[in-house]
Amino acid sequence: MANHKILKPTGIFDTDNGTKLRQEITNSIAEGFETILIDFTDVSFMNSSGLGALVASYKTVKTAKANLSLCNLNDQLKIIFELTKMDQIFKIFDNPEEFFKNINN
Amino acid sequence: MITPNPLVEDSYSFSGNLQIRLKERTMLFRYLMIINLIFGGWYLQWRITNSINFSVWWISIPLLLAEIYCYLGGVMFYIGLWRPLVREIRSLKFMRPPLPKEQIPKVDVFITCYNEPVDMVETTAKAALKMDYPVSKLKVYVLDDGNSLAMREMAQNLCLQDLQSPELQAEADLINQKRSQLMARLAQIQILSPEISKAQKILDLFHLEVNGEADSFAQVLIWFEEIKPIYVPLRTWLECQTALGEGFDNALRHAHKDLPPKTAITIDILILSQGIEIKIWDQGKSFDWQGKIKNLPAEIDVLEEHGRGMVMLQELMDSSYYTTTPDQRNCLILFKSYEATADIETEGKVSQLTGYLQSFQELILQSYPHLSSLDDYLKQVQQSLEKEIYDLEIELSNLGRACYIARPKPKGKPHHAKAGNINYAIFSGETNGDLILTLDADHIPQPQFLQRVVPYFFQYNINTGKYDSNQIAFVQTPQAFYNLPPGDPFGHQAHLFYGLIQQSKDGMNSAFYTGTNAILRREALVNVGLQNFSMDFNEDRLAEFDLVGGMSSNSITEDMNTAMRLHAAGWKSVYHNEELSAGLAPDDLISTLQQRLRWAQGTIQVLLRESPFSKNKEGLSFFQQLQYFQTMYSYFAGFFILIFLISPIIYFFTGIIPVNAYGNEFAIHFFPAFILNRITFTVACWGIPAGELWRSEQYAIGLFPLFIQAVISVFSGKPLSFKVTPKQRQSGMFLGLIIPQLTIIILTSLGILWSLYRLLQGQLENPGVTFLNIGWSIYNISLLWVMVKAATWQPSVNQ
Repeated sequence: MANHKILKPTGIFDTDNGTKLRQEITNSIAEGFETILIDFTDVSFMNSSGLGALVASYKTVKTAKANLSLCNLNDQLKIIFELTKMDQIFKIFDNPEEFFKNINN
Repeated sequence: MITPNPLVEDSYSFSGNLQIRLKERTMLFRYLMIINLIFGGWYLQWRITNSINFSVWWISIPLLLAEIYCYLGGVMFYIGLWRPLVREIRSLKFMRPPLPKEQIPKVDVFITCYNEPVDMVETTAKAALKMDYPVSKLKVYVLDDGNSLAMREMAQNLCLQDLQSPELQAEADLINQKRSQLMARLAQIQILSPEISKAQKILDLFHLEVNGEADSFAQVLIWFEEIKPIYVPLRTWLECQTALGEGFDNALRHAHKDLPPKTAITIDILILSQGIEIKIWDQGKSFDWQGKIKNLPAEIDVLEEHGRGMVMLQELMDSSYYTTTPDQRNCLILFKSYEATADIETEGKVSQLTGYLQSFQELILQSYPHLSSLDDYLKQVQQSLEKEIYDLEIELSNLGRACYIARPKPKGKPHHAKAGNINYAIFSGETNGDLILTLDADHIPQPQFLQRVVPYFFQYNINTGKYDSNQIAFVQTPQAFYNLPPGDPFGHQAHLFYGLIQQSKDGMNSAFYTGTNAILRREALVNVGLQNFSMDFNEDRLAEFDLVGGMSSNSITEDMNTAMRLHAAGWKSVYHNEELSAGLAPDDLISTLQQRLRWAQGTIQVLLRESPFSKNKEGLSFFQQLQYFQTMYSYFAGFFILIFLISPIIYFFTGIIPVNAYGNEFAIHFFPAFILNRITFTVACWGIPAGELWRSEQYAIGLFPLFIQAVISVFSGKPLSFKVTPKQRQSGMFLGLIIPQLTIIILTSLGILWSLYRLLQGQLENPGVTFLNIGWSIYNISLLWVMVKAATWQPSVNQ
């Protein structure tokens, strides 16, 4: 399945970065990508607003019947996902390799 | 010299600090007085309707007017005596409960002098310094309007002498002792100072201030990473980090929404060994955090995009508060407890000590919410110690209690006499006492003076258990003299005035301030002085501000005028009937006349310029107006006395009778009123020696030319000068001063002789009327005789 796109936000994932990412996802779906992976390697911190933007992106993706996966969450991001039970909503992978393994299956 | 009255201080017969009661025999006096006024009215009614001899209207009408004047004066005088009060008070040091030391008011003694001998002022000043009062609360000022070098030197020497007295030495030692204690503390603090600075540097690592901008949290994250101690579990740390992110975002996006960008946000992290406290300070509007928490939804839909922040905070942290601090910032306080990893006992030691230091700083900051660091606290302690030391040094340098003030008296500027002298001292900046005791240069106060009068200025408040200051503006005490010659030829004894009259004025809250032996509340004096100053303000007077702003300078009897202004402004007064000082009375006729003329002129001047009925005296009660007006009214007596004195003379030489019926009918109407009047007066004046009463009656009549002169001089509008009554005897014979009185005496005597001659010749038509007139004349001569005695009086050689 080659129809995928990897997005790599950086820095602190708050409202501003979240909104930017959401825009990119909307664009990617418009371009026809069906599977989107967000690689959080370069995100050091996420707050609830950033998470809110991510939820909004998730809804956009679902409406388009596409898939959204996340990978490379640092400990702080894991805590916030855990806390808000988002880990049950999003497909989360340790790294892009895991993700590819998964979609290839 | 009078000896101080021994005070029986421990045998007060009343509870509380003050007892006020009606003078003895007041009820009897009231009955007699009412009957007397009725009979007097009846007599006057008869005189008006039945006895005017219209054929000689030029004398009969003035005589009738004189009688009406006397009757009205009598009515006012007697009504004024309706409520004489006797006050008894506990001395300051026996007050129950005691007046706390810090509440004992500072007293400035103003000794006003002009050209009095230096040793006289020195005696007074020394006695003032000897008054029984806390040394640090008493100051004596010689207000020298003569600006003499000798007086200044005297005051300076006195100050030095006083400083060497055991009381002041003890006070100085006490201050020095306190000062050295404080100095030692300051030195210790200074030793700590570098250590505290270093500690502060460590503490400052846990404190961050950032400009509130979209990307400033990155900076916070770096800092937060740096301060992580080894023994806090990573998960706890990350949870705190997440919470910090939420709190910071809240400050930036909500609290600072309407504030300019870059408004500072401050963060403090307290890493204790069992928990972490995060404080985030914003400068926005306060917000009901607790209310919001209560209304948080139990669960948030996973697909909800907003509103997770607070729920997360609640779940991440153990507690959260949002409070407004005294400096109008808000602080979000988050706390999370944790269990330290084992490292704390080994590698974590240093961090742990830092935590102790942080909690110690926190304790201090919680106790002093206006401070923000340990360094601030150190500075505060240091500054307050320095201030205390400075204050003590000031106190030490102000320990000198005898001061000299001579105001500049530029030519061409009004000086406002004694009022100007006192006002200058009030506003000069050198004086700051709560109370001001005014003494004339010769008035030697007794040691207990302040002990007896200061308690009047306080009132015990049962609700608070403390003493409040009250509305008393001044306390007047009697004027007594220590140089009165035997027989008091100049009529200075004034037990009627400093006794019944003052006590009765006191009963109507209108005690008479007589310029000396009185203690005034500075606040009242300045307030009322300024009110009056602004009321008749004009540009030209601005320069005189410091001379007219306190004591009234509108009249040459500034004292009476000042008191009336105070009363009109709602202040109260007290007359304390205990001789607490003694002064010199003028003992020659010329000085006595000068003094009495000033009183008469000044009083009439006040009536014209500031009558008790004028608009700005609306604050006076009816009875206060009556008291003041009665005093003023009495000074118009001169003209009417003259009529009484010349009526018999006219009769002797012309046979003219101004009254139609001098017979039984006259006797029936006149004598009951006259006799009752004497009885009422006797009852009222019970206890005052008859000789003294007679003397004051003599002077009331004998000074008639002076009263006439006073009225004419004031009404003619010529400027009056304040002549300081000389305190040293002016020697000489003064018959030249009493020519009007001598003329009356001589004419009356000739009239009597002429009548007797005609009686012997059998030419007299009306012997009865003649005898009545002779009796009247003899009474007149005996009244006036005091003037002759005073004019020719010489001190006996051995005096």
